[in-house]
Amino acid sequence: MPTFKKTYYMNVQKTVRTKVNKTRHHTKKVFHKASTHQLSSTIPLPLVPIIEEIDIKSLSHLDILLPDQSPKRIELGRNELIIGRDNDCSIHLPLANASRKHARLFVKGEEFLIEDLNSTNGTYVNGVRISRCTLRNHDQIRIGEARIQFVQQKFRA
Amino acid sequence: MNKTDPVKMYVTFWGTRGSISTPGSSTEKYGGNTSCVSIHHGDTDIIIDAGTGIRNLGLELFQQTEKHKNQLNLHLLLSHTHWDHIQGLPFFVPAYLKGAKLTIYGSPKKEVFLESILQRQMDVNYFPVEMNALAADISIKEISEEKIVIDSVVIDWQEQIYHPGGCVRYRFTAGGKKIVYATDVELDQMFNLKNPKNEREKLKKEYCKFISGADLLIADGQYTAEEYPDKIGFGHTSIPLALEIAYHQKVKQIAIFHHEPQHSDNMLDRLWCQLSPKYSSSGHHMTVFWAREGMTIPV
Ligand SMILES: [Zn+2]
Ligand SMILES: [Zn+2]
Repeated sequence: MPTFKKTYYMNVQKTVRTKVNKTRHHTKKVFHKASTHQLSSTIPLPLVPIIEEIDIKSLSHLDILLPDQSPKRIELGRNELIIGRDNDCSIHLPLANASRKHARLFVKGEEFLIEDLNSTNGTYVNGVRISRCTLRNHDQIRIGEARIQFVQQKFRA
Repeated sequence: MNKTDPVKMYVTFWGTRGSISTPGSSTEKYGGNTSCVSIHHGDTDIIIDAGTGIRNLGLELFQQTEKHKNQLNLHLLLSHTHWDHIQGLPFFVPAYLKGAKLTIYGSPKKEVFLESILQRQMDVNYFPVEMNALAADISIKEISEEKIVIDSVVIDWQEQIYHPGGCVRYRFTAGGKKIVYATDVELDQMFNLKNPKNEREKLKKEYCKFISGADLLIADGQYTAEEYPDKIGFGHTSIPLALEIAYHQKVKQIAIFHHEPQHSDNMLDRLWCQLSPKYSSSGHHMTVFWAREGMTIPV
């Protein structure tokens, strides 16, 4: 079951409708080219509920390929993963050109995202240096010499 | 967003589709929402175009203000007012937030006030909430001839005539880097030898100078070379031409944008495989990618 965080309210305000016409001659003095709305307040209107957490209906994993090593597979869940050179990283990359804390992988809604943590040499998705990216099936992540493939299989229960 | 480098501009694609939103499993990789891009630099938030992609940006900004308890001060630059560039505006949550500030900029070269055009899309016959009922402090500006300066971002702009009704291209300069947003333009016309030479040459020169050396160019690439002949005069560019011109102007990175609604993820992947290798090997390197929803690029 999805858990709804809370419902926010926004103020919708009602004022007299102002008609702005671009007439060429006599009204020219009255209306400036750039004009600003003047607003006043009234009725509250419920705003979109922000859905914090929802079950992920997918099986996802990373296939990690490091130089001179056999491929490793890591199954993904809701937990945030830190990728980097530090020993305490959830995905440890013993590579000189990986930063100590290089990138993080996390879930937002039903999607997996990767975010670069201001690394020196960058995080690439399909050859493009990114700062953040929603991952899609078969995306190729590159961190230093590491080649990481994101694989996702979605299902409906 | 996490810690960001104050010197850099962070470009996020919220909507990359042209013409009409195209949801579905065959477009989930590159995205089905229409044009919306944001640039985050220091504390400055600039949005370009308000296609349906702006809805997700609005939700993200809203969550950020809830978390940090700060007030939003947003700048929205419109390239033009075709549906696919304004239709998300009535669904942009920050516009409903009291205390949020939203400044909208657009071309002065229209018959009707920009304010009026935007108001009309929220007329009671089209949408239940009228524009002047929005709680945010909204000001609408028709840009003047000069540059726009927003905090430490300098923006210059030019009208593009090869699009029905016209369209503005923008160039953002900050921290010594340049980002150009130039969608909804038929470069094939600008480079078509059949058009009158003087005008054509002038426009070509202007365009080339504008994009020259850009660190990121977001370019109209709606059609394949094969499709283009059936789409002459529609106001959009064929992808190989956009790439060639950018390469000659020493653009460092090009994002092909405004994807044709008929183009599925598989087709865009295939086009990328065909067209991009040329630019990664020969001479100077130009990174070529197809703009994709949910992707943030540091520039
Ligand atoms: Zn368009
Ligand atoms: Zn258009």
